[in-house]
Amino acid sequence: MEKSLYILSGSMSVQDDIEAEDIESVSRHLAGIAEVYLSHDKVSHTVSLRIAGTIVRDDVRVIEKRIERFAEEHGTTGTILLSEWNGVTDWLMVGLNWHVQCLIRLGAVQEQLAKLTEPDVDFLVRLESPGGNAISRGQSIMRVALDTPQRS
Amino acid sequence: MATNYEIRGALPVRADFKHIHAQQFAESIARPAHVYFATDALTHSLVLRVRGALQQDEQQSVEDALKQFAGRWASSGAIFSRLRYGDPSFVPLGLASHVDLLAELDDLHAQLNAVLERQAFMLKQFLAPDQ
Repeated sequence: MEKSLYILSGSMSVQDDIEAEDIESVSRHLAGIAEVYLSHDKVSHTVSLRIAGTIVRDDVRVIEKRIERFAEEHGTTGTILLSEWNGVTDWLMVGLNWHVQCLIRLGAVQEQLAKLTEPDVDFLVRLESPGGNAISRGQSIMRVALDTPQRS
Repeated sequence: MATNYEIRGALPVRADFKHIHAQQFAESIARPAHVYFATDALTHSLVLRVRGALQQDEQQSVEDALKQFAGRWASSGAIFSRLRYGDPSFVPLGLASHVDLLAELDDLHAQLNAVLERQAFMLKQFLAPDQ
């Protein structure tokens, strides 16, 4: 496998009670793969990091998985890190899960909204009996279950 | 007076950002706020903590200054932690497009909820056709 230059850099907010060992364990884990710099600022409760090396693609995943885990465990907000691989720049979103999920969900919400706001969509309502075999006519955008009173 | 306001976090900054830029910014918002900052040239980061016993307009001017500064120097979006009168919240800062994404997400959620409420209302009309 071909090796290329990889750099992951940035900084993140961390919990007040993070311990030196939490940071050192990341350094120990990744030191065999790349050059690791981690700096903990105890006043602002942040960690700045830079991980760089000429490595194979599989090692990039190992590094990013480890940093994702560290950020999940110790980060207090979502964070965007800068990742450069083989001259290509990208963003890596890590940290507090719901912040990351928010950013990822944005695309999905946008798509859903576009469908719901298409002309006439409001009036395309099909009633189905519970448990009945619905006949599929095209793709359903949204399904809603309602309790209805029994009519005699 | 006890501290009633704190905002802190780490901002990824552009490669041409210098320590003096952070120092000038810190001086511009200091008093009555207490400002702590550190820059890291290796990771291109500025870490910051601003706190103090601040009136509401002073809190606002700190955040306005921070947003303007972050808009000028940030290399990506960042989420800062804020504590106002003991109440925690988040503040998106930095690269405008990233901040816009976070703000847009809020807006889209509001729009989507409105559409869903309207559909729920219409479905209820099916339940009570005689009214």
